[in-house]
Amino acid sequence: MKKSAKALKPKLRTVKLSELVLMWQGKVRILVNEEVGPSCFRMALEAPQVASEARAGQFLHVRVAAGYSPLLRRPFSVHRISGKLKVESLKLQNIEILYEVVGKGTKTLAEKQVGEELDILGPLGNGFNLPGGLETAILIAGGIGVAPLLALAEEIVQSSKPKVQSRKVDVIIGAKTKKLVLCEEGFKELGCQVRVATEDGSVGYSGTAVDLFKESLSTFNFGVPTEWVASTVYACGPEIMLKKIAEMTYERDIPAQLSLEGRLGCGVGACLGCAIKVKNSKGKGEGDFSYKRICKDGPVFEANEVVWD
Amino acid sequence: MGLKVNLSVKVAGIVMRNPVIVAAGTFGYGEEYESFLNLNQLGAMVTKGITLQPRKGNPPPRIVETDCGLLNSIGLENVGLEVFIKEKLPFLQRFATPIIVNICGEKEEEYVQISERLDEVEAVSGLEVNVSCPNVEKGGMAFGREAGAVRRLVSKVRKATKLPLIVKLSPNVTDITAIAHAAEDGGADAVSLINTLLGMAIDIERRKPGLANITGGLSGPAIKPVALRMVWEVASVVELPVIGMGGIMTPEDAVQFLLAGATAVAVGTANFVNPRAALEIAQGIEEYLVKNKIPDVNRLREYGVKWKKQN
Ligand SMILES: Cc1cc2nc3c(=O)[nH]c(=O)nc-3n(C[C@H](O)[C@H](O)[C@H](O)COP(=O)(O)OP(=O)(O)OC[C@H]3O[C@@H](n4cnc5c(N)ncnc54)[C@H](O)[C@@H]3O)c2cc1C
Ligand SMILES: Cc1cc2nc3c(=O)[nH]c(=O)nc-3n(C[C@H](O)[C@H](O)[C@H](O)COP(=O)(O)O)c2cc1C
Ligand code: FES
Repeated sequence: MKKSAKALKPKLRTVKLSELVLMWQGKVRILVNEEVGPSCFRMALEAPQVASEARAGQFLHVRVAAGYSPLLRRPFSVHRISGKLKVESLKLQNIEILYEVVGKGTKTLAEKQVGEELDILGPLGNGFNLPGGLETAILIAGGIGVAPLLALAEEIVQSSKPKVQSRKVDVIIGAKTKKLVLCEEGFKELGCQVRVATEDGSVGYSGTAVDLFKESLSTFNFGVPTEWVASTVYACGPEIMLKKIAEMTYERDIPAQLSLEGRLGCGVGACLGCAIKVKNSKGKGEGDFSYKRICKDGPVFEANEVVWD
Repeated sequence: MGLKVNLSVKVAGIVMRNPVIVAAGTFGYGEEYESFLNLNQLGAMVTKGITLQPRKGNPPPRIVETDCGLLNSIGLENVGLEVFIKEKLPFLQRFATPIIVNICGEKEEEYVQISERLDEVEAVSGLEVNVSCPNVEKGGMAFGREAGAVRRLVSKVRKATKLPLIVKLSPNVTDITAIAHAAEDGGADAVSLINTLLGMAIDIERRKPGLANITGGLSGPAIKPVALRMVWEVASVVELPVIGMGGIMTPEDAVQFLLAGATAVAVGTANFVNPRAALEIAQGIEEYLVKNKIPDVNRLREYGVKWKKQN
């Protein structure tokens, strides 16, 4: 017996890389499904298999109904991984999503009861990238785009080694109106500096998240991007907002990562249905582009690689 | 599970451990699904449509969901023949599952060149000739719409390769049996059907078509009755084995296609909903056979051919 146990050890170390890509499909229990704002819901899922692997920026592909209505899964960003630090009690790890009801699928999701099961696939896609020298992260959320950014703030705060390297997280939350400002407390609890912008001026700055970002540019320290990446902008929100942020950061040579949305089919890179236009790395001018897959090559992209139509 | 049933089938000379294939364009190059299922357990794998040169594909949006269906206009995005052979095949080759390459071209000559090249490649078990590609020599209309064009194309490909030839039929025709006969005459070893049905969606809020390319191919449960009818019609009149597909989501759907006369079935859109769909369907077919005391899956196709219409 002893001998065979020993013989097993080296085997474990020679697992091929492709076998280490862990994704999971199955049914998980809904622990929470509560309205946190008008038409906005927070759902917690008992999914330790996924929670232990998931990174901020990745998403879950959710089958909201067992039949064919809707037929396809719906993607939702990892919003929060609760209990990530409790390594010894993996079972306590839950995964949360934050979603807005916009159509059939999200309406069905909002009607789910606590205790029901949900068929999920994940974690899928590539998460946000935290450059080694990152000192300040500027998170810009538009509307429901706040969903992946809270997970990112958690990840950044947890990755800071006390005293050696303390990472600063500045957050701008943009929403149409006061009631739609989500997660302000969540970010504050993590020690982030939070600024709020509302389009109707009902709370905080009067204007969009982009307007507020533009006005506060002078207050951020962007370091010297060509030598080391001291600051990075991370944004998620409506396409028009992401486009503006891409332009602003490009002009100022600020690195920026965007979490993009689009219609997904398979979610795993097989159907090529989720194409997004990107500049070719070899860059032969304007018309030189190719398509990448939002689900597999993204959903997080470098702002300067995206071609906006 | 008392009874031991046979699930293995032979299509165009390709032996498959079970009759469930993954359909072209819905399973990428296999690697995308590796972490979800054991690829060794599939009946066969059909690749994304391969063209001679790499293709970028159509602008987004490329897909839109419809009631019980999916419309797509991917535009045959693929890495091109040589990159496929060098970078995608080595992965697929690791599995014991037959690899069928779905091929597509804008000219007859392209199909011929691809077939000649793949004829030398050991890992390939067979070719599936997609005749739904736009025929640039005929003003962009698909090869598959006209019996004469299909016969010519298939006989040219036939001469170019010794590999088993499966001709994939388009449902966007007046009489699919005429096209199936043409494929048979051209020298096909099997036919597979159906490819997607031409369709369209419109977004009334934006007052724009749902797809950038305006029209696209419909797949999923919405097309199943049409697919089943066409499979039955074709299986009743040609000698060739038929691979049936179109909206198969469950083992029951698959059994219907087998009863209609198909030797094997392919699962497409269902993979997107459930990456393990093909395996679960194969398992469900086995359970159906056991429950109904049918010892061999090949017995199922004997039913459909006996059904005759009254008028
Ligand atoms: C990687 C990724 C992560 C996401 N994360 C979140 C998240 O954390 N929280 C969240 O609330 N949402 C998120 N989304 C968006 C979410 O997936 C969609 O809102 C959801 O799928 C809508 O489903 P539905 O059935 O409710 O709406 P549907 O009925 O499918 O659509 C409602 C309306 O929106 C239109 N529509 C849908 N998708 C698009 C699109 N991509 N482009 C243009 N129009 C479209 C439809 O045509 C329709 O008019 C994410 C999307 C992606 C790709
Ligand atoms: C996203 C997508 C891509 C497809 N690509 C191809 C292809 O490259 N070649 C081909 O012959 N058929 C292609 N098809 C058609 C499928 O192989 C299949 O014939 C069709 O989808 C019907 O089966 P289903 O309803 O099970 O999906 C594609 C289908 C979809 C949904
Ligand atoms: S959704 Fe299928 S490739 Fe991205």
